Amino acid sequence: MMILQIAWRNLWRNKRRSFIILTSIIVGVAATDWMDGLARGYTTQMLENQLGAHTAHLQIHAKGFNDNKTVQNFMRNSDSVMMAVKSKGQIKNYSRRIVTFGLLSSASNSSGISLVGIEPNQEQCVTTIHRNIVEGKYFTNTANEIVISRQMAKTLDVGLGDRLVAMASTQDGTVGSELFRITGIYQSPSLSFDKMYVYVPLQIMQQMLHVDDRIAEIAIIGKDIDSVEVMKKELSAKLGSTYEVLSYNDLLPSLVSQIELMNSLMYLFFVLIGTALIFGVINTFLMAVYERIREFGVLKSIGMKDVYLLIMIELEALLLGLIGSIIGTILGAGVVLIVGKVGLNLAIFSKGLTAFGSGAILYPRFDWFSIGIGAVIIIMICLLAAIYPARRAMKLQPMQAIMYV
Amino acid sequence: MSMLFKLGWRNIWRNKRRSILTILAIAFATFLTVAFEGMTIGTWEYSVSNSVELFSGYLQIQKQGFQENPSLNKNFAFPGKVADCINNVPNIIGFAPRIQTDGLISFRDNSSGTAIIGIDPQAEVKLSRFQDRIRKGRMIRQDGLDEMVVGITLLKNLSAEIGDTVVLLAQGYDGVMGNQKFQVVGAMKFGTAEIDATMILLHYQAAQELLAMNGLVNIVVIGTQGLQMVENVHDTVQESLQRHGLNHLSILTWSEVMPELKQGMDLDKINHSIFMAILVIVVAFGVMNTVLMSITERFREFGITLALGMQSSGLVKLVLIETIFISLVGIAIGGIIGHCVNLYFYYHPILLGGNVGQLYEEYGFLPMIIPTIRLSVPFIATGLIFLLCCLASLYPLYRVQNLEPLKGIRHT
Amino acid sequence: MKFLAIIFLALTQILVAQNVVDIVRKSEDLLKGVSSKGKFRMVVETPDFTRTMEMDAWWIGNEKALIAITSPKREAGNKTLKINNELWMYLRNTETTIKVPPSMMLQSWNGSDFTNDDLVRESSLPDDYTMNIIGEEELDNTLCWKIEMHPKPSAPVVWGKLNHWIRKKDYLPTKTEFYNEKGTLMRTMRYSEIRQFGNRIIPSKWEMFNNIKKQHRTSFEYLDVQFDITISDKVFSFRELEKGRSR
Repeated sequence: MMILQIAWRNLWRNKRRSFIILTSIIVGVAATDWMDGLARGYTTQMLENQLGAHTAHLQIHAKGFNDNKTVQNFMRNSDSVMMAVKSKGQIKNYSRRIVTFGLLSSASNSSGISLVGIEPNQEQCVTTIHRNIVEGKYFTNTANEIVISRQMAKTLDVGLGDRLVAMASTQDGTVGSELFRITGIYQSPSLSFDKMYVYVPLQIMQQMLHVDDRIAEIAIIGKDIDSVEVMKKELSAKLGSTYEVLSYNDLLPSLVSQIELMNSLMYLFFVLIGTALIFGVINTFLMAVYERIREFGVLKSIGMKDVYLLIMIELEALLLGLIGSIIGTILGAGVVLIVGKVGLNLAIFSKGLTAFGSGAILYPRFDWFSIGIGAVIIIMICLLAAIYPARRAMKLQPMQAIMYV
Repeated sequence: MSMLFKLGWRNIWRNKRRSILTILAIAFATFLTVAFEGMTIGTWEYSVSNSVELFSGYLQIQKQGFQENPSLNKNFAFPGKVADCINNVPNIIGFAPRIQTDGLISFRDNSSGTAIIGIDPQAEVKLSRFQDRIRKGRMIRQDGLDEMVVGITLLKNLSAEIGDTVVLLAQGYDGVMGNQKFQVVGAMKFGTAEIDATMILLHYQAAQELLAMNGLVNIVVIGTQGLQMVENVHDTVQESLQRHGLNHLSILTWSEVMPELKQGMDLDKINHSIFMAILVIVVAFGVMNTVLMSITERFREFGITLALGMQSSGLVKLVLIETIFISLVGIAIGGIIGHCVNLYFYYHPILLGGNVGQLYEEYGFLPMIIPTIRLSVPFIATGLIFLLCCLASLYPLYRVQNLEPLKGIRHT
Repeated sequence: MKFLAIIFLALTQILVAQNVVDIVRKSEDLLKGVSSKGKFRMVVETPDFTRTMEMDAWWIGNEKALIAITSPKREAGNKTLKINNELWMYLRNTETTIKVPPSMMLQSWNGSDFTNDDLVRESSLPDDYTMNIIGEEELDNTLCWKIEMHPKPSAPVVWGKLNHWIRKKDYLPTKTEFYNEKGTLMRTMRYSEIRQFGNRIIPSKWEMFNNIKKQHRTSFEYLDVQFDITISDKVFSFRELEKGRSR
């Protein structure tokens, strides 16, 4: 394969030129990888911030509960629902909850809240509040523990270990109240969430509300976020019309539309940057070929067949593409992986975001498929980009070429 | 010197292919930057405007401390001196009073906690989107002192219909339990579950009556023509308030009234900036490579020029002049085309997702990509690319300066 | 002889050793009757306003109560009905009866320092607190027991500690101090102006001071009250609630 050898040596004969082309390719590939990683990381972050706080992928309630979160609308027979849930393969984790409007008061102040009764061991697998604990602990399964936000602690002027009384409307229409002691304080990225959500053990809340073993909702995390709608349909069909199965699309429509907007914008970016890249590569190849017209003229005049000229140029493009692509992918994917583990704290760019807490740390996400595709496409672009200049080379008259300035 | 200019200009057109390729690369880079920047800024502003106009308005005047601890006690007289302060401030498209508090609404056997907002229906039209959110019935009329609009989920929870009479209960400014009957004339939908299940709108004068707050309000909403005016108006009104001696009042921008929206938007902005940086890196390499190649390609020619007696410094100046010319042409073309593209999409924005009507109904605004047509965008972008071109030519110029004639002639 | 001595000793013990719970219960019973009916004046002072309200009220123990406001004119005709743990309000202006939901329970009752929940709460101090006499002090020129109270482990109360003064000679309360768990004094309740109503002698003025928001104060004054009379159950009915006039 002498022509391969020739092509290879051609590359290194003019280091400057090859280097310039390589950098275009490397930067192009790396940049696409970074963008892809960032884009994925960002939308995932946005979703996780919200879903992980409370919503999860799916929620099951008795019909009508979501519009009117009163005790009367709790699920009547949760066992059959639990059976349906447990039998679904795509469900990764689920947790049972009671959610109702209530009042929380300390000696200094009181505040309206969404009181959530949870089973901590299950809940940890479904939501991420336990990761946002800034003081104290999540739950240790001792009696009457309560977890509130830092904002709430400030409003009520309390700290770890202090006493709080929670009140809510019971099943029989009276007002139930219980004493709790603060075991943990959390801070989530969302201030409005923090102002409302308070957590207590499920059983205590069931006692307080006189609801025996009824629960209000089941929150579900599926194995794969993309199959949520399918899961919803299946569960809905199985459970019938006395229950409502709501996906995060139903529960957080404004978030979803925001993410769609983001995604579309990202897509636009990709198109623009991709175009920049392609153009850059083509341009560089063109220039490189024009630079070498004299050389091609000489080759033709010593008898090289046109088709070999084409193959030689294409091979050079292919080799450059391969090398550039590999180095670029290593650089691109490498950065994505490292920053993906460490996280890029966007708060360093904007003071206002420090209050956002963990929500401002961006974890670019690595996706084999995208990275692979990126590498391959660049190589193909190189091949394509070399065609036009190669054809021009082929059409040269040897004498014209040699005299070209 | 002028000879260098003439020489430079002619040099450019002697080799059309090379010059055109270089100009194209630069023009393309500029075009992309202008389009990118235009689209991201425009869409971002559109997003923010939508969210702001939906509810809080661009600016709010409140009594100090109201934002942290909203309560009826933190009120002030309206119109009064406040109106004087606002009236002559430029760039304001209107202002309106609001009263916000909690209450209880009751219909037959059902009752529910509510968030009460007393508004001036006519004045709000220019400032917020309440009108657009009506799904059933209608908005309260200017003279509708016994009319109420409720959230659509609230209507359902109460098992009430448009036309029904409900009782509203709220603790007034003086602690008295105000109670009054209202007729539900409309239902609105914001798309957020909590809001749709708790919000009600009343005429602000009805709210004043209910809450024993005659002549008083707790918020004044101010509208401007767009996001850019906000800071300016904020400062003008603040100064005006102080001048009128209204030191217990403060003026807040939307980012202070809705810090969470600001947070989300900041995050978005930074994300865009990162992408922009990546774009710039990519185009920078493209431009640098092109400029580098176009100069090194001509080393033979330069070698001869030097051998013919031109000074090294002269050559450098010449090449620099050529690069600058080319860059200017490139950025001009790219900038103009980019701006035209932005203009086109400004009038024909890209609508996202399916059914337009449904989107509006669901999310409260049309998700779309719309660029901004402010001239600052193309100017900054062209400036940036021009800078890049100059930087890109530094290394090649350095090579030119150190070029030895014979080495140049033998360059391949 | 021995037998008599033992009996005598036993009797003395019984007479002398009334424990603190007995004292407190006795004190509470003095203030409540099996039933009562009366006219009250409530004054609420805040930095923003001072309000005076007059009302008629009927009580049966801790289970039922009806309060009808008679003055000022703006609120006359508004009534509050309590049956066990539930509370209803009748508003004359709109002629509607509303059941008070939990969201309103901790709101102040008619702007006072008392919450709706305070009205409803059945608690008796010995139920929620363990108590000890820690000394004797003179208040209002009368010697009182000073009793320290700590909430029982699962009692749903927000206070960390109470100090309660009961007069030794007539078991009437004089003062209660409410502390939070950190030991900060949050509220003080004073009972004063002891008067005779019928065959009972009780403090006619009850004032609640807010020690944190210093200018907030609520006071209740019994203008007239009758104890242990027969009150028909019909009084504590919705029909009575919704009748436009107070008896």
